[in-house]
Amino acid sequence: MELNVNGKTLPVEVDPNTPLLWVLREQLALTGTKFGCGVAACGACTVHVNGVAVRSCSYPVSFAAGKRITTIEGLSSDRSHPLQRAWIVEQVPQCGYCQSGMLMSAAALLAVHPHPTDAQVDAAITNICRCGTYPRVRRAIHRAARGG
Amino acid sequence: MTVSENDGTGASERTRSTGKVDLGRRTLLKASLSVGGVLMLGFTLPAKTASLLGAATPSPSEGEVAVTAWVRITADNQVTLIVSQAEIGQGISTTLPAILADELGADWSRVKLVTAPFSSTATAYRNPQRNWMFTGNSESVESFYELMRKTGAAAREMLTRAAAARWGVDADACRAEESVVIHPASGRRLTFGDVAGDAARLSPPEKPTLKAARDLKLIGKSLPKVDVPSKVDGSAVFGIDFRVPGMLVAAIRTPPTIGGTIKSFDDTAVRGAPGVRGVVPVLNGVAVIADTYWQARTALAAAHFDFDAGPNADLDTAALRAAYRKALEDGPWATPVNQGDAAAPLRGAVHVIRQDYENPFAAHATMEPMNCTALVTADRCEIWAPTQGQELAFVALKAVLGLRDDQITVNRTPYIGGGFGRRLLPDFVIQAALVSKAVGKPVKLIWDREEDMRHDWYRPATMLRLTASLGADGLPAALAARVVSPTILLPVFPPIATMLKEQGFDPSAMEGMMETPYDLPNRRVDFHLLTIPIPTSVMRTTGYGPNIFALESFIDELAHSVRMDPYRYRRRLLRKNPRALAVLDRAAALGGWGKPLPKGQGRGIAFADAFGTLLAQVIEVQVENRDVRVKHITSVVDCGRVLDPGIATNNIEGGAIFGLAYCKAEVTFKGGRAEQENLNRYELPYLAETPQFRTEFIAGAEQLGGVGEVSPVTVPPALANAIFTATGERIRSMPISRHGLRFA
Amino acid sequence: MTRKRNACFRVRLATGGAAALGLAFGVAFTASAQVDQLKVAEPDPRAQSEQAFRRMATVLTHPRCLNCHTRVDYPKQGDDRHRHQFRVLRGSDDRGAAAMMCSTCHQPVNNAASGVPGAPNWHLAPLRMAWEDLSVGELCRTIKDTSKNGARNIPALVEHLTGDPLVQWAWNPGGNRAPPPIGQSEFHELVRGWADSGAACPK
Repeated sequence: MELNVNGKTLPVEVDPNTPLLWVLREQLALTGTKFGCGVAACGACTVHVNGVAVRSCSYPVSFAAGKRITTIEGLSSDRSHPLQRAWIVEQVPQCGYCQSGMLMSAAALLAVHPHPTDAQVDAAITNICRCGTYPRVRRAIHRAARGG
Repeated sequence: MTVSENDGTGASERTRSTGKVDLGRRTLLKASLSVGGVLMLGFTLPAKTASLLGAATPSPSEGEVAVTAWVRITADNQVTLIVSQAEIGQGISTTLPAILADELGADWSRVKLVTAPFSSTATAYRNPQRNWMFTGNSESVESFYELMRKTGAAAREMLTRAAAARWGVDADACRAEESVVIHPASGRRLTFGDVAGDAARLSPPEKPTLKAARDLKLIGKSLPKVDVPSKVDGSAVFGIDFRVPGMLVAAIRTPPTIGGTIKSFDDTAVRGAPGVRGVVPVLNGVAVIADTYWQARTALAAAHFDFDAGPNADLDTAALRAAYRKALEDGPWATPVNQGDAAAPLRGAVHVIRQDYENPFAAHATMEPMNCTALVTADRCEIWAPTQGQELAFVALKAVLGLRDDQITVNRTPYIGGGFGRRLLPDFVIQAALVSKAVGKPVKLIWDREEDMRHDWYRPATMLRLTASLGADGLPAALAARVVSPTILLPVFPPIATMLKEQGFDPSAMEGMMETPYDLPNRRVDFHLLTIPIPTSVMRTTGYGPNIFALESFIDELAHSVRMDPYRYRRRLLRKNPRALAVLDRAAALGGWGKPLPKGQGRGIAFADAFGTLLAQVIEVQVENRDVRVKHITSVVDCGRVLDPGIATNNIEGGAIFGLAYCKAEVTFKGGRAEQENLNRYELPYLAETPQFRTEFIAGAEQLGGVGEVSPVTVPPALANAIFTATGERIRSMPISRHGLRFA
Repeated sequence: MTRKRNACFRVRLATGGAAALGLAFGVAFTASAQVDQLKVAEPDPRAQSEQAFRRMATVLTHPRCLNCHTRVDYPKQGDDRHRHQFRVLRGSDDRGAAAMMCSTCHQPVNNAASGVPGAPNWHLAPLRMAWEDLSVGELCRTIKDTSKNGARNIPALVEHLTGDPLVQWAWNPGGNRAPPPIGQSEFHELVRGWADSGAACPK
């Protein structure tokens, strides 16, 4: 099958039931999207499908056919996405493992609410961060929304 | 004093980062304006910083010269520093190399960082105070600070002398900065790269001259962290992402019960499955090796296992609690602390207070599940693991594989998705090595989350009984404590086995009880080293967390019993400790202690002297219909000198949320196995539950205290104390769900 | 159990035809607890219709349905109907909050790998279709109320209950989730029977 990932059409040969997460990580060597739980509980595997946040551990690759997939690698080529810049200014990541999913969720939020309230941030960002970077995640989202 | 305040609206001030290279605001402004046409005024990106890359080889690579074991320089002036300590989110891969680079005079913005290996030819990176290579117990800064400065200074002197020799001038007339040696009098310059070869031939000075404080440019500043850039664009390679050529991937299943075994295993469905390259019994489990993880995992799921539940088939939380309770009542006891005469005031005392406290089992639940990549042949073992315990892994591999010292190398992947102590254990490393050995190829072994949570080395449950007799002044005249806990240190530091046997207590499980900052001259602590079948080991806060939960809850109960304000009560107990008083007073002031709160809201306070750091925390909650909303956490920290305020703040605030997790989730057992096998059953705090933070540092002394795991220590008791103030209800165990409460 | 799907169901209630109709219903509900009632004299067509709805209600108030027909701003989960984990919320369009939409996790089919249930168009019923804490009569009237039920007349209701894939998911819920107490095809017949008999609501 063919997948449209970060603007490129890529051929993959894989069991159609394989979760998109593992196709991205293994067949396509895009390891930015992470495996945290496999049961859609933690959000580390969050990508965009047609611009909407999807937990890719619970999304068979066959469903991705004909759709636009965006991973963390596709937010920008040079860390210039407003969220990435804000994440750097606010020094958000600690261990960093949840951050790809966190950024993708934040990007999906800003696509719908460019200037989200705290309540909208609360509702949108349910990604688990074991290190507790949440206060900085919140600050960085507001910073990106302000345009820096 | 550095303040960082978070009011949740993004409008807060953040401690400014200063770096060496000023790109110029105009340039940044222009560049930022062009991104998507979005106006981004006032957007200052942190200055460029060093970058954390891969794992170092034991010896310098082709073209690199080693000037001391920690610094490698190429002819074209690429300076690479070795990072000894595991970056697990605590920022150590920024702080320690920055100290070295500062002393060295390297251009920090161009420095590359690589993680230290452990092998027979690479032993220089051990913790100098422990002579053991590990990352844990909040010891890294304190242990390595001097070594980093001395090493940087030594390398600087060697490079300077080499350049001076070339110029025929005095070394004292030369200076090193931005990876260049300068002779100001003549204006001559040579890069580090130019003179590295000569420098390497000199003997490192025994007592290099350290820079004066005013000449330090990095130490003490909030530096942009070296690992942040790659963690925001997906390029950071964690253990689970690691690849070597020709690598296969393995999934593993071990018996789900503790101590269970495999009676039989039918792999008919497995062997023919797509991509499968092998099926291998490994210790008490079975690994399936395939081209991809998903193939391995899917094939493994098709296998039929017949497990024998083993000797712990009936083990459940009720039985465990009964065992703890029996020990709490009957002992026997070791008595590591017996000061003054704890018994006398208790005899015949009028006002005696006694309470029991309980801490639950907790799971490390690192976001990255356990994994390891191994390449094992007949005469070589090479490991790449997200590990905190390289030397323990090395020792274990040697024992299991029967190889010589010079045949084993344990590399650490630069990025690790959380450690919290779990990755000190070598179990997943041994498994990966055995799988690789069996198939004769490099193998990356990945645990799924269920395997990870079933086979944790849990933070153990503990039970405590605290008894105090109060004098006429309401303060404790004597305090006696009983602590029931399994060992936590033995699995990560086997040499203490003798001490456990002879002295009957675990020093790590006694932390927070061995000493106290309070004025308690008559004090006794009895310890019962409980034996349970559940694997237990250290977890962020080690013994301090469970002990301080009990102690700081108890202090509050004592205060309330004599109708004294808990903050003022603690002031009395700390009256001989001005450094502690300063911390406590500032926390109370900053936390608004004493300001009236509406009904249903309350503040709780807790104090700890842990990991060489003094910390006071005030937590403010609102409790409504059993919903607990944590509104503010105020932390005042005296860790001595703060080497990096930004990183320290991150550790305190993130650590507080880790502390809230101790109040939210627990591991229970039934049928000999953990009931919580994934993050949907072990629910961690969400962003929406996060309070606002106020965090301040006081440099009360010159020493370097740890900040990596001190904040989660005081959160549970401060929270329990706040809930009491808000509701009148005293909880003596966590999580709050045991008491019908939930976080909102 | 023989269930004769016959012309009886399409017979309209008519005075004088009650006895025959009652017998037909008696055949249709052979296996049900209504047998006892039918042995008692005078089958009442309206009562039969109401009874049909009462049986339908055992499905409609089952967790598989009720978990998404909540009257609060979140779905519920599980046979014990606890609040949906992970702070999942209704959102302004009943499809979840931005970046945490139902479709973030729930796909058009059940996912064996993750255990997440799925069906096409997974979303919450809007609040005007909240069924929690309603009596059987109130439930019936709410379902029939065209100002609340998406302007569905009776045939459209029947189509929704017997044909909508998200509704049908209840009988193939995956995992350990219990399906409703009445089998799928029996439920379909029940719904059609109720509709054909006048779609009466209990008090």
